[in-house]
Amino acid sequence: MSIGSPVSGDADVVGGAGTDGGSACGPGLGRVGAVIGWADFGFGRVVAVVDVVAARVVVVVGFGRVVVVVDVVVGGGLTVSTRRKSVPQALPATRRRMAPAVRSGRRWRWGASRVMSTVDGTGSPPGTGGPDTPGTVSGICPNPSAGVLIPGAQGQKVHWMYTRPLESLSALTAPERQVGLPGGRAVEVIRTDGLTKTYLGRGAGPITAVDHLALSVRSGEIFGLLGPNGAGKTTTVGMLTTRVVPTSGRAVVGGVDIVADPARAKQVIGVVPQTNTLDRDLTVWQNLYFHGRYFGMPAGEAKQEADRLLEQFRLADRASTNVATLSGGMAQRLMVARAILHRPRILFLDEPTAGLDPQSRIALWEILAELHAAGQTILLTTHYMEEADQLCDRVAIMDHGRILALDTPAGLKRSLGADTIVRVGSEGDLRRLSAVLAAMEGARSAQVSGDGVLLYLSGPVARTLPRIFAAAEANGFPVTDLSVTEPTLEAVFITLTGKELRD
Amino acid sequence: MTALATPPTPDLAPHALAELRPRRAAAFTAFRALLLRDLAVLRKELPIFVVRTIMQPLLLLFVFTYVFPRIGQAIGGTGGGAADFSTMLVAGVVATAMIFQGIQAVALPLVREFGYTREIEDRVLAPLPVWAVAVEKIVSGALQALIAGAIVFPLAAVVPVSSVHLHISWPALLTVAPLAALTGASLGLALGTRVQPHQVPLMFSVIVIPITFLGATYYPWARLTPIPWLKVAVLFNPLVYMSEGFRMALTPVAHMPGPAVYAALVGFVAGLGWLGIDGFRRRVLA
Repeated sequence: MSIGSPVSGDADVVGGAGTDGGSACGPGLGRVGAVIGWADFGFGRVVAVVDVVAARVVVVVGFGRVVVVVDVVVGGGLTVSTRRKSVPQALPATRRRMAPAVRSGRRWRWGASRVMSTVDGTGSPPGTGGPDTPGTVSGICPNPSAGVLIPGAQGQKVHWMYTRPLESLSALTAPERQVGLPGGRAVEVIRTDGLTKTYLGRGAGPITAVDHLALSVRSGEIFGLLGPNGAGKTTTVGMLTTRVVPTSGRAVVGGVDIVADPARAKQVIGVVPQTNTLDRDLTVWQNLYFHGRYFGMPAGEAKQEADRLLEQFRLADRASTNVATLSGGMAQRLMVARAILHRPRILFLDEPTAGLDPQSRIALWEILAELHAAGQTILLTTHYMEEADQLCDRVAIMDHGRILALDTPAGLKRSLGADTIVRVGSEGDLRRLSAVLAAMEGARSAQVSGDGVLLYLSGPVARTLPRIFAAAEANGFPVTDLSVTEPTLEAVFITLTGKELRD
Repeated sequence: MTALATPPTPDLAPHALAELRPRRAAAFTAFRALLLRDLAVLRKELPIFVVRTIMQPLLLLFVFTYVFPRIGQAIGGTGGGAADFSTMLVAGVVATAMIFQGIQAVALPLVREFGYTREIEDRVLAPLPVWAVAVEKIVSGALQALIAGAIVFPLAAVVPVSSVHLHISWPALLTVAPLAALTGASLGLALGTRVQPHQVPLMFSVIVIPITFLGATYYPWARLTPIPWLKVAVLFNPLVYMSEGFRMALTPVAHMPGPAVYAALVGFVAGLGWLGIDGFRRRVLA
């Protein structure tokens, strides 16, 4: 918990003392170099900060939009003040210097911080080398893991203290960041930094499913996570949708820190999980209606939206039936309808077409394309390269919890540097065959894949095929199979990992 | 499914993205909507709810307060003894109905919702803390337990062969009933989050049935004095305090001291509630 988070109620920083102070301040708090101890109880709107050196205790309690600050200086009296929340124009910072002793995994935590700068320009924000400038970090959104903010006064201005480096806060907790895009700018709606999930396996030792993932997804794009089963895609989506607690690292989704404030993050996401999670106790229509109610829609609006989406997803004739009677494709459409009903900033789909028949798959692709055209940001995971290729603006290829490559589908395929890929099936020492083929004219590279060799060629292929046969046979390799394809994402994956997507 | 003959209409996507709402307001509306959802399901399944609620107390009352007196069976005796026994039994039956309802309304649906499909995720993704979803389960289960307890009263009026003489202490009833309902629902949550689907029959054999039979349902706890070890052992059974609490609230029969009943019920609500909420968190968060 931070003071700002619970007190402000709406992603603002608590403050409101403005620049007129408001509490009698001891000599230590707010002084650059002062060390403060802090405790975050995590169960409400209370934070206490103890400045041992200054013999001062500040307790801040939030009641809605009003903040009560109880400021006790030992031997100096007691001050109680109330103030309405507001976003301060300038925020000085502290950097955690002493061992933070943060009890990870717990709601409550405690630690010690050193004041690094103050609002009046004394000291320097970490990493900037210069004094804090009013307005420079006004986008900071406090959250439970962001640290502690202390309103106080040194006779002149409010002091704010953080337990994290300023730059990481401003980078990660700004509601929406402008990021550069070729030909323009777009808003970044998902950002992860060092996101890691390690499962403590029984007997087999810890398993790192996602390993220091750094990801940036922009507003309005369809972003694909492509990789084989076990690559860490579902765990990644699980973390971004608050269902999996990261072991370390941070992630901001739609402007909300998913670790610090998962309940709030759920407001901005829509999720279509891998399995059918429709509510079996409700009808098709009720699944949508109650979903709308969960997200705060009044009854009338939820009814309207449920009706509208059932029409649009061609499920109106099934409105009063139980969801257990739906086919796989219908259930998937209903889950997409449910996921977008509350107008999420980001729609997550985890293997959305796995197990669907081809017709249903195409129908779902059409729906996603329409959503994309209307500006919906979508992050989907898939192990179907065609899906990633056809739907996604950008694709991250994942394996063993890491991103191996990230680009547009065309860019990824271009990275192969080949116009054609010839797969030569054979027997024997395929590494030697690979070396033989790679030495041919027009060959960019060759790679062993399964029971054959992938040969990457540039230029026309027609006259090359007979030469491939000849070279293989001449070196004692019988050609058992030969196929020619355009560069694909599968080939990119094989190039990167040496194995096939469906391995 | 058939493929879409025509593409979905162009306004498929949201016109405008939803605004972030304050945490507390969002959590409150979500909590209320989850309760509404449970009530909607209850209303839809009302006949099933009534049948599953009535059967056990009906049979208990029928056998112990109608059949036995009619055939001269020793339990309860006849005449004034039968009336006293019926009166004493009603409190235990109310408590049993409530604890059963807590388990049936919370534990059994949870076991399914945590199953392969994990349909619980539908509600866990609502914009409120995970612990609040678990608390909603308790509140919803407690409401259903209260209804189940209330259903026993008309049965008690018509089934026993000797009329039941209730001496209702309203302050006690209005405090014991919610506490008993919360205890039953908390037990349901604790069981539902820690029992796998294939363990449900075992749960009934090892936990539910012993709780019922040794819950001071058919006898006041004080009457166990001749079996001291049992008198102590059953103190770990929440149903004992529920039965004794209702005995205190509904009958002139001797019962446990009130403070002990309240302290134990509050303790069980806290302990079982914590077990349940913690278990819920562990089951839904990886």
